[in-house]
Amino acid sequence: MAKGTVISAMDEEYAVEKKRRRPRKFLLVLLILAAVVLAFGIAIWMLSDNDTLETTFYQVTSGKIQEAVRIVLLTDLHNHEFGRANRDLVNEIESLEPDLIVMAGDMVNGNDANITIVTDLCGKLLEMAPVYYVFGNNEGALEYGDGGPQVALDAELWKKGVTVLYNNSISAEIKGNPFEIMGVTAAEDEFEKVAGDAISSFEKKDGFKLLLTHFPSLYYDCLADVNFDLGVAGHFHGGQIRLPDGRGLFHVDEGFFPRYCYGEFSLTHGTLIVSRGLGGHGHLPRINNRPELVVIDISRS
Amino acid sequence: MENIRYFEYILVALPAVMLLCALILFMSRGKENLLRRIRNGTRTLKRWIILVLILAVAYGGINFKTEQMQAEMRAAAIIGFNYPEASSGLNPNRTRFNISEILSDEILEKAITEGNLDHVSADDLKRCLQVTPLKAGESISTNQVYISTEYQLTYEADQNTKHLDPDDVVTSVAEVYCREFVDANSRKTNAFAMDFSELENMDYLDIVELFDEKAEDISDYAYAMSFEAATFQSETTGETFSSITEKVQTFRDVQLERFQAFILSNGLAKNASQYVAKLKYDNTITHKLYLKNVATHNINLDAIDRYDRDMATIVLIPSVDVDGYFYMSRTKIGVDYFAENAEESMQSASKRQRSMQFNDYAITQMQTADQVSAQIAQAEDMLEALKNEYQVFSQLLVDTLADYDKKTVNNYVSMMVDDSDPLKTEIVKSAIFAIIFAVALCVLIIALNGRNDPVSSSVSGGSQKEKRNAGPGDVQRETGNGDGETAEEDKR
Repeated sequence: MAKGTVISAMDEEYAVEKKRRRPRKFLLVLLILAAVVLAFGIAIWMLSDNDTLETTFYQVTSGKIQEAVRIVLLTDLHNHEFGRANRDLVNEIESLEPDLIVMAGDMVNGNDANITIVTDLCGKLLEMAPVYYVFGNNEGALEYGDGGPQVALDAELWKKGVTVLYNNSISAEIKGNPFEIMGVTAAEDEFEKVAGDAISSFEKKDGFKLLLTHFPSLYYDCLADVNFDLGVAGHFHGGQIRLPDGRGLFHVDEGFFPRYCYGEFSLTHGTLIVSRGLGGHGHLPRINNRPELVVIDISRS
Repeated sequence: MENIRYFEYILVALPAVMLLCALILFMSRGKENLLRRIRNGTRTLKRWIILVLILAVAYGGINFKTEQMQAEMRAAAIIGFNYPEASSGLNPNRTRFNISEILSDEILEKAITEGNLDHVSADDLKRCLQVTPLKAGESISTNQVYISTEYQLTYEADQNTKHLDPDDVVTSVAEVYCREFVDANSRKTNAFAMDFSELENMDYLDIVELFDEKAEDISDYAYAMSFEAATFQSETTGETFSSITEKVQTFRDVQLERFQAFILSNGLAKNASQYVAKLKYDNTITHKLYLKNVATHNINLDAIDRYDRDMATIVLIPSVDVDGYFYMSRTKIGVDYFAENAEESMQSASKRQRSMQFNDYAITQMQTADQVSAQIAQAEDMLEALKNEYQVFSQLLVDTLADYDKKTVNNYVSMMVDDSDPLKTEIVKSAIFAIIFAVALCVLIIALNGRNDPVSSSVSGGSQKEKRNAGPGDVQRETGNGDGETAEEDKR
């Protein structure tokens, strides 16, 4: 009898404990579910963000400028399309009323022979403003790569009226302001040999010196002390994943937290603006890193 | 249209119903006295024969009119395909042939527009059109399915399309289809045309390259055509495909070479500094690739050296070639692949080296040249001559191809509207139906008259009229006589 009383007391205790634990377990399941839903929601939101443009405005001042000039910078499109035939991108650029459009490389994919996305885009942009183009690694691979499509992109761009720069500079007048526009395609190891002379003569020129290159790393390896007014670049895709503190996480060339990942940087003589780019290449999605269209307003200081 | 069809059904069914009724009447009285009943009925028929003939002629007339009205709402065309692949069920370009494309919305809508077929939609036409294969001439073997190369397109108007002329409908649809078929299977020669406005933004050496690529395309095409149509000479241009190939080759080897030599020797460029930069960029990358090729070549040579001799022992395998002949095949071994790779990379390296040497020469010339305006003007004149020459031979090829296609592609498909007068057929058909009707009517009359007692009428020897006039006593008498005669006949 005493044994039976003990057992029933234990049962009661167990039941009370079970009742006490039940809400806690339910809460845990609910929390896990909420976390999963939240994670999925964030992932979908972040990925869907990859098709919506973000326009970033930068202000640069210079004594060489008489009348304000607006430059639109496009980089790393990688054959991506915003709307049918890039209608959204073209409309956005048109609404910005640029005076000069520059493309800092990787607008195509090295292994994709389809260049019509870019040539058609250039055709439309040329109706708004002159277009200057400097090659990135993907254009090089597309034109020359062994076993690649070997498509003469530059010939097609020239036909359209785009000015392609290959380690050389040209003089141009933008809204009455004298501009010296230089494009650098050389990599760091061959920079001196390939572009050294051209950079030296570029530095000596008087107009507003705009330096285009695809690779931001050139600015800390070779171009840090070069005398230019404004330099632009792309390539790092903003570090592909943008951390909450704004830092870019990774690029295959530079590893974690690449330098000059995106944004505005003051160098010895001039200002460098690095774009996060408009598209992506490969399977890694851009996370918290919307495609960026850069607008640089240069006004008189 | 529907009413006429129903009426025609009734007309056709009428003799059948009459025959059926006659059969039922015969059957209902059993087999006894059948012959006598028929004999009696035939005698009665003789009196009705004139009426039967009149009814048969009337029936035939109505049938003829119905047929004619039906024929007026119908039309047909025969479409034949006369290219070798047709009998395999393929289009000339060896894609799958599908005759039902003739009833596609695209074709029907074009037919409606071009044939001015008012107040009708593609769906309306689709309901009235039918396409069926015609099997003619060829035999079908047990293991080979016969694929027709001739199809009949038939049109039969309905309530929505009765306002249209059937011949117009069939002709429009068949003509549009044939034209679209020829268009789809014709050559697209617009690739040979060149937009000369594009050259304005290009530098001279790039223009040479562009002209060379385009001329090579034309030359290759004409050369391939010279095999397909070796003896063909265009009546329009007087050219053969071989003569066009020669003309293009001369353009490339003489005029284009001369222009390039002039540009290079004088170091001419529309924008020398820009073009030099481009050539230098070209050389930078080409040099890297050249070094890569040389390294690949050396690695492969090294691999060949290291290859174990014992592994390279040749093994011969008995094999059979495509013609079924026996031969000894030597197996490929690793060293063969190394040798192939080494050779390929060396060829590629040599090609790149030549390209770099050419660029270097052009760079030197352009950097030292003064860009004399007289020379620029001469280059522009030469360029104009190149444009004219290119236009001439590209047009020659286009015209010659068009001429050739006229003789081949246009014959791929033929169309013939069936405009034969159906009057004879209709008359014959109506006459046959009238005969069937007359026969059916005769049978029915025989069957109907067989219902009276045949014996009484035969014994009395009087007519039906007399029998009807006879009183009840007469009938009894006649019955008695009849019985006796029946018994006698039965005995016999």
